[in-house]
Amino acid sequence: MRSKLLTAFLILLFALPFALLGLLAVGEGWRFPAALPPAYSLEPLRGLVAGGNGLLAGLGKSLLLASAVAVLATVGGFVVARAVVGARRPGRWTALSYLPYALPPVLLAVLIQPFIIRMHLSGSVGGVLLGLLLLALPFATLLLGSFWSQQATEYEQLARTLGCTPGQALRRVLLPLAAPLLRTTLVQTFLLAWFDFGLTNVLSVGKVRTLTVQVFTYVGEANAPLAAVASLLLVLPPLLLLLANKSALLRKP
Amino acid sequence: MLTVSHLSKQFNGQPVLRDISLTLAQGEVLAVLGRSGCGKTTLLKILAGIETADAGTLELHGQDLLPAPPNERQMVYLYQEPLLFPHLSVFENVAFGLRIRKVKEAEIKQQVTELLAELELSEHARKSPHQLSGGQRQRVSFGRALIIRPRLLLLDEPFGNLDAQTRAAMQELFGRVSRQHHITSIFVTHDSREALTVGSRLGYLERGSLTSFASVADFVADPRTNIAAELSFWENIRQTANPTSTPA
Amino acid sequence: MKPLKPILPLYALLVLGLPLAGLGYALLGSVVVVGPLAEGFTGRYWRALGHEPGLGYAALYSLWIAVASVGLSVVLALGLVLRAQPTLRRAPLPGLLYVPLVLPALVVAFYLFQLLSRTGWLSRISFQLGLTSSLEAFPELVQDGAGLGIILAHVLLIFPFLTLLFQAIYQESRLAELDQLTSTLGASAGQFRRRVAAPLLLRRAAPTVLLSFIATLGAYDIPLLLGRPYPQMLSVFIATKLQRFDLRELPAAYLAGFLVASGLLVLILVLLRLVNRSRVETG
Repeated sequence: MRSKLLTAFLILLFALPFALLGLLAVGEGWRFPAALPPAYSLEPLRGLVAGGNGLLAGLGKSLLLASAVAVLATVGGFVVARAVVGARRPGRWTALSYLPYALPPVLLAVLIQPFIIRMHLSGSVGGVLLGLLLLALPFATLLLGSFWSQQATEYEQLARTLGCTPGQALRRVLLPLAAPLLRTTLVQTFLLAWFDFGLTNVLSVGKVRTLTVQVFTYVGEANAPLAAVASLLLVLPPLLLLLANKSALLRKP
Repeated sequence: MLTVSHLSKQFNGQPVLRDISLTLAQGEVLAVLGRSGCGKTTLLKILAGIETADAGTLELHGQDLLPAPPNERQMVYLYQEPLLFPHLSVFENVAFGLRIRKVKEAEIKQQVTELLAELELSEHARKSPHQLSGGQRQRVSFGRALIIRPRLLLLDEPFGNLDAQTRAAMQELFGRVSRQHHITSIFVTHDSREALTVGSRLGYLERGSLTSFASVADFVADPRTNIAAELSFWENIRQTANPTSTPA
Repeated sequence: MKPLKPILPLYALLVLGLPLAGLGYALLGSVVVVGPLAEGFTGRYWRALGHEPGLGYAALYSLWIAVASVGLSVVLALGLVLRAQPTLRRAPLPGLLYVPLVLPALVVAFYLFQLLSRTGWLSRISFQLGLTSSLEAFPELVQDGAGLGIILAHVLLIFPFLTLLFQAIYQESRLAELDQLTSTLGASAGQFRRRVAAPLLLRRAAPTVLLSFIATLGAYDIPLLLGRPYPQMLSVFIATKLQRFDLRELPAAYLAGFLVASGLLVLILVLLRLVNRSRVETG
């Protein structure tokens, strides 16, 4: 009984955001004190499909940015993690990788802003990408560090004695062995970029309008329906990732 | 066939191998007895090309091996762990070396099937490595090495993780397959009984120095192998158990 | 695959170099050597630190929010893992706890605003039920002085994550078996929870809990939507100061950024000690 109550409470707690956001997205002229919208309209959704409100462009931009960050950070992290294991003092390099945890993304963004401006990257997708990589690359390096154990080296050496060139050993042995961890890292770094608002907002100076930036703008304009649609769009891809691969979502640094 | 001369290696100023020289003829199995930390792993890795030597030469059929990268030496180094590729089936694990060499599909199929039969693994061909027992895994690992017809097989305590019974069966299998395929190998172990079972030649490695023995008798007589002491221990037991030493 | 030589220096240049350069720039900006106002060295803004309570207040407020959010989340997660094991192992719970992980902080803030504000859904329901008679009669749950809304949003995000983490440690450390063992030694269920399970879970999860704490300390998205103009949390305080049009505010903002970043760096060093300690323990 107690167990069922607890389960029901948690379901309610976690389902309520989706229900309320859904109602806000399709409710029309929903003002205090009405508990439910007086009328429903698919206008915000139609606008989304027609591309009139820029949400579709924001979705595309967010997808592109987060995918680019995920791929670059995962590939880079794989290579850097390998170099860290072979370094003279791997502990120091691991400590260095924890640095981004110390700085809140928005603080990091305002600190590097003067240099981003000097590199003529301010307000560009490239500038935001660089900022996000500053967070995602060390994170990926830490995650992938656990792959480069003694055993990975032994596998690589064995592949070499069986006749593999270094490239073949990488493609046919190391990458397949690392595949599950690489998948997790891709998901994690994708989400890191996908969820980010503070850093993107500062470095984009209003020009790179990703979905989170749009949610914030619509909230500022008190446009609850569009803010809700943008929110639901933000939640959808991670929800699909969750259904596809639950374990990749739990972040354990 | 294989000639190693004056091989030396240091790690951080500590000598690991001192002036190692040995020769090995085609089809011979050199069993090297040595405790952990005697330098055996380093020796095998230098021969395989995954570690470099500080000094010395390495020749196979008169050809200098040192400049050759590991993938061109055709010498397989086998670890204590079978290290099967978890993403490949038993069949594909064994076929690995042939695929790397771009051998034709029909040829691969025939060779792998034959070898699997010889190693009594036919029924497991489609399984993945985690479904196998320890001894089966070690046989797959062995097959994966044999398929490329290695010029030299380097075995580093290959049966160290197996229980006594499986270990004896594997020693027997290794001896049979070695003779059949004329495999030349260096077999490192810390078990003197295993050394005597598999070796056609015997050596002892201690603190980086190798002693080669001309005969089994010399090997048994050397106090470092501990065999003489072992024999007298069992002799003692036998005498205490049967003081009259007359068969019942 | 041989490690390419310049990889690590390049990595350091990007990950350490750029933020440190930013930190240096902020330091120089705070003594007005660089920046739009650059007029030559002055310690004016550093001296003014004593008279200007804004930064100290923001720090205290952030500390309160972080302690309350992480503290509450730890209590909730521990309670669930120690008291509701059978429920946690049955469907749909493990999967259910993953749901909040797909919610961006900004979305949670927007949702809680729509739920808890005076014009929000709960207020409407209470009005319809006759519990409150006007907007003002509903308690101030978001954009309130104590930061209730901010804390709630963080708890909603952190506690499911910590529950999953504690549960993973619970199973990994085979606490269920340890429970049986301690009961044969004569311990009660409560004693097992207090003396064995809770300390073990907290110790193993300490680095991650501290990481959540640091992240909450620097939180931006949630307090931006659910907080008041005063008091502000640190990230919001610095970001708004830096983005203001009044250039005379810049040195003080750089100073605040420099101090906060340095403070958080010290906290991360503490964290690294913790991580190293637990590495040594687990071997």
